Amino acid sequence: MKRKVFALILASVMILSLLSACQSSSNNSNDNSAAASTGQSESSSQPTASGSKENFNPTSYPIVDDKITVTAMYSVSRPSIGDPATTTYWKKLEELTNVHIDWTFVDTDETKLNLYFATNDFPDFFLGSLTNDRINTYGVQGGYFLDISKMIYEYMPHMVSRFKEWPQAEKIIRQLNGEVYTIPQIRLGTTAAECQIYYRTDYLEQVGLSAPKTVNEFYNVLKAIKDANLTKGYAPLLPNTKGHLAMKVEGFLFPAFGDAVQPGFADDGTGKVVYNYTSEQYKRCLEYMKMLYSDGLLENEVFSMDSATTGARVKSGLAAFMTTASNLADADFADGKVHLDVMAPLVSEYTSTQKVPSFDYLSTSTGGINKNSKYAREILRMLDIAYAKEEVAPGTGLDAIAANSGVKGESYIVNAADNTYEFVVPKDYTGNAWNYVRLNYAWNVPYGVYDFPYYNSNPNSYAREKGMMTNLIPYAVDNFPDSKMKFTADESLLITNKLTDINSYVEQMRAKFIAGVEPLSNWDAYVAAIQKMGIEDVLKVKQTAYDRWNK
Amino acid sequence: MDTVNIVNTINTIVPRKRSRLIKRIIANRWLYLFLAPTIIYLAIFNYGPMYGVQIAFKNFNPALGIWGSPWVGLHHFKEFISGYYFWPILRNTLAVSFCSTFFGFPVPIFIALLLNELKCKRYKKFVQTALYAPHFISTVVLVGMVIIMLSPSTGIINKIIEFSGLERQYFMIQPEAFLYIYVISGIWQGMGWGAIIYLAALSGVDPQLHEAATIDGASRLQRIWYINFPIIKPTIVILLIMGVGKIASVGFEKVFLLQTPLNLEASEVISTYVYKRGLLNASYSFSAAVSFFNNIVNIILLLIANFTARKFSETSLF
Repeated sequence: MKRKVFALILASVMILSLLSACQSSSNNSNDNSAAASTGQSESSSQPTASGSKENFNPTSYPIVDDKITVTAMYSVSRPSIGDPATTTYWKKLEELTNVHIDWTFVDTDETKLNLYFATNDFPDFFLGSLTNDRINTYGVQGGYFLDISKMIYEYMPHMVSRFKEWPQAEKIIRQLNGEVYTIPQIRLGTTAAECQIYYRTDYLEQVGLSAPKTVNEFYNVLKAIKDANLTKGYAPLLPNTKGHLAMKVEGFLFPAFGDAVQPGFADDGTGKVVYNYTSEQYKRCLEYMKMLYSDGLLENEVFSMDSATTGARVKSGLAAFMTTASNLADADFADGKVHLDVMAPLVSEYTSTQKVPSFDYLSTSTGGINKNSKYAREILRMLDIAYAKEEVAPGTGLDAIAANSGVKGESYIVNAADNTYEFVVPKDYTGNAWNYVRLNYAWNVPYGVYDFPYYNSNPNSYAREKGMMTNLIPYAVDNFPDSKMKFTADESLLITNKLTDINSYVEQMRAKFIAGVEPLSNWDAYVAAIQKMGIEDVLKVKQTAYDRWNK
Repeated sequence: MDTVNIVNTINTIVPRKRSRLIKRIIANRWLYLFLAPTIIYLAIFNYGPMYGVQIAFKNFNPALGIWGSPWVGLHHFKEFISGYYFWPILRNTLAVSFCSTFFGFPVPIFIALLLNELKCKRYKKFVQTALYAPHFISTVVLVGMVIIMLSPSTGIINKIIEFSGLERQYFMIQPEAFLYIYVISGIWQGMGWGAIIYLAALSGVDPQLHEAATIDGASRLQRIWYINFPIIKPTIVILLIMGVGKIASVGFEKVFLLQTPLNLEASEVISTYVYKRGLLNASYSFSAAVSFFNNIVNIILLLIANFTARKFSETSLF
């Protein structure tokens, strides 16, 4: 009998634990659907909904008289940002607006994001992560997002005022069906550069050479540093990862070998879309990188190295040219002072114009206000604060810069005399100041306007920012609007299907050509393979979209 | 004859079958109760989601849902089979899997037979623990160790190679090295753990058999071959069939972590391809079709293995 009772208890515990697991999830979904359905009934009469109308202030602050709670999703790797309840910007924003945000944080990993979106269980709005594809799937086709094409002109005066200066920002938010689901981000300032290659000026001095201007000079500088054994036998050019080899090193070198600026899709100058990964210019660029690789000037283990290893090499002075240098402090240099600069674009016998791909300063990934949300106007007004040129309410310090850097005077102090600023961090804090800012003052938000005109006074940041402003940003050529053009559902399906394999093939062959595993005499076979994989179909679709974009 | 009897019995009990079944269930209610969690688990998590397989034949759009997405028939299968990567990834998947099964499979048997012969208990325990230990290293750490050990500049393997007068090798970018790296590290990690099941089977050997054989003058090797080996043979066959059934499904993490753009031509397998197309690029339908294709290959291989095992020995799964 005892045994039976025991068996019964054991079995029922097992079943209960199983059922409870199911129950909790079904409970959740019930709650959500209930919330959604009540939301829907109210939103249908939203503009005149008596409850929210009285509470909502269309022009003054607080935005609502009685506190409301909205839900939002932000894709971020969690340890890098602070708790919204204690982060200066979000705390102040809630105090001013009376809008409380209930955050859901999803890791930046594409896999997790795709799974999150596939649940179709959406918050009131998204802070970032709305790619073109997702806007297409869930907004244009799915109808999950609210069309804010009229509301932005009513409730977002600060943002609209920026459209005069940045007409493109108004263009990128509009979908093919004329509707608007997202708001733009304009990101400029001293770090708005792409394809940075930092270098140690002290090493160049030691070999008695000046900053290289041509690809041949660059080769000679690398060779001299290697021969002088300044990097202790390691290759002097060290990309942070294999991704940086493509994005930064190749992105930087490609424009030096011809007239085109970007190796991927580009306008050939006549309005025709071309794919430069199959161009002669790209072949020349690969040839050059292969030479650097085989002569031991470009890190040979780059294809399997992780950023922790490369970071440690940079820190120990075992690299002269690198794509990440933020960890180099004064103490890492022989004379106790940072000697860093950014390479200026190179030229060669094929081109005499210095140019480099531009930083993608315009994007749109925030918004996606839930169609069932009761608080669309409130959310738009709250987001609008990140576009304000001056503080929106006296004494709050909330303006466009605050959304990214915290409040002036409290989080950072500007020294107008030498055009620099300094973050307010505790005396004993030794890490990177930006990490402290993200944890305590403000997050790196993907909307609003960020055009901070000052240099960070930290010696490392100052050297790098100054380098970018002098050597890179003036030569930036606006990118092909690949990520901004709008595609129909069929078009984007075709692109995903064909381009995934092509991208993977290009990545694979880039590595093979550079490492010399595949001789460049096989170039024609490489081009033929890409043709066979359907690049022409992709180009046709991109051309249609580009023509539409230019209209 | 047996079959005929069973059929007859079934025919006679059919009218009373239901009441009999209920009676049987009542009689064995405790056993059924114990079985219930497993059945519920399988039904909810393994059979329930199977309706989702239909997205392989649809253009799945998350906004429209599984049922609302439009049908496209075999479009995705055609696209996959005529695609550029079909033959390479199929070849890689089968190669990686065949090699790890057929080189990895005999090692635990060999180890179990050897461990079983050890007389000193303490030494046996020590060896066993040392062999199991790698099993508990996570794949990420294992791959990290492999990459560090194989590094051309600092790796111990390359130090040994250089010491013996040969040239250093950058193994991680050589497509031909990938298979060796994968299989050898897999054997190293799994051999001790895999031996456990055979050791358990060997503990069931009747010592009298060994005594009798010793009296008859059998050598140690002969005793292993004629007594120990036949006893673990059924276990070997079952595990082999199950291994063959998994041939087309190579574990994802380890391959993915060992991939570099340069060994991709040997290291891109179905599971990593599905991950890249399906989860990273959100082509859910296409990757569902690829996975579905993979499962069909697995089932066919399993059936062939099972059939062969039944033909050549008395043991089989079904």
